[in-house]
Amino acid sequence: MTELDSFLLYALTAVILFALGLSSLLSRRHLLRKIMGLNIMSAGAFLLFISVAHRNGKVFADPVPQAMVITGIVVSISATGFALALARRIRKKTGLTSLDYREEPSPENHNRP
Amino acid sequence: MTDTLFDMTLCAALILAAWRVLHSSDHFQAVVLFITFGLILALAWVRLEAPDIAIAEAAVGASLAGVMLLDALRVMRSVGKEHEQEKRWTSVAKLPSFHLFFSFATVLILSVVLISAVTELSDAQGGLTDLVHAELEGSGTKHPVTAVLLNFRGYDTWIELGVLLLAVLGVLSIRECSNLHSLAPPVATTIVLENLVRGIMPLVLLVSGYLLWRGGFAPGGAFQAGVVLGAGCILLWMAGHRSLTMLHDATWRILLILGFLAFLALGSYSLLSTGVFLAYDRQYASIQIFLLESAATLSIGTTLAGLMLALQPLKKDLPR
Repeated sequence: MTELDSFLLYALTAVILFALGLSSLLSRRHLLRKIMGLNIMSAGAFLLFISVAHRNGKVFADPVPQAMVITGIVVSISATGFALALARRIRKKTGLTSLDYREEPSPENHNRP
Repeated sequence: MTDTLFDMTLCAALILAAWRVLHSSDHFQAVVLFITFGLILALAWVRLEAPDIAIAEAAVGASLAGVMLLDALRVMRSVGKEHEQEKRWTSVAKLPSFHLFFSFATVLILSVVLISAVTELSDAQGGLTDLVHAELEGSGTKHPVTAVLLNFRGYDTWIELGVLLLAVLGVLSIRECSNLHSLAPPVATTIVLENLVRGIMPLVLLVSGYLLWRGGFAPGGAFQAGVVLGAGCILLWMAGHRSLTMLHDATWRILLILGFLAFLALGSYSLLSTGVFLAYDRQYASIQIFLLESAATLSIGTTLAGLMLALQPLKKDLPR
């Protein structure tokens, strides 16, 4: 396979991952699914970055995007940790696992840790 | 030919795993698939000749994120009425039509724009590889990625340590606890597990130190070493050991800000002596980078472990 085709293959996969993540972020209600959707979106962005870096690289992929993606991975795990803390707080305060406040929480869920 | 086949299988597996993560009806299954997705992605990084990212992804995406999500799922698992609702909403057809329409229209338009942008990218050439290799001599390290992270784009790494610090402070404020000493003691596990984990701890430290040292000339470095260290602390906690809470509160705080402070101190020093922030003296560049990396490793390790531990039950929440 030529260099170009392998670039296109990974770049298109990256776009599909981004779209899948975004659609889940918009259409799923459970907060954990939204957080996972966000993570898959960022995986797509990283993959596009590195598919370009791979094409422009020599022995290894271009080191500048590599360094940016490593930074990005650590930032995204800290964002995930923070988002999970917020989600758990919402669950604790409202008994809900989504942001839809139109639904009354069922009484047995309320104030569970 | 084999390469092409492998790449295509890998991409198909990535898309399939992502699809299943987002659309399987069971949350537990989704989280386990998310961990699988991280591992497949690590394989893709290896195929794209980015081994530094592969190590970081395997450690962060597959293990740390998995542990955090599983722990959150334990607390947030929907039961009763809400669970039924979530199941119903799993089938897309049950969404309100306007909601469905807008989300799919957005995704569709964005995908078309992105695909056209990506196909245009395919004849763009360039990259910074040659520039990095030209400047590698005298940057204080032999590995290009480490050189970019710690020398050429030191700002990024500095700010990133700041982001990590903010995340852990944010989690502590959401939990309304000021330090790890207000955590309830870890749940005791079996003696076999605890001793096994204690036994492999020296190995974890060894791997972490090795990755840090290796970053000087080959794939590896502060991030990967820090993540391994953090995962070790979390493993200890889960095996019923007191882990980070054994540290004095002040020690933990100092470890948290050590990396950020080290960058700030060296940056201010070079600002005063040369007028440029974070410009290294060529003569001392390698020792400066080593000091920064060691400080960053300790900070990243304690911060990531702190992010997870700060979400554990507090003393005040325990039934009296």
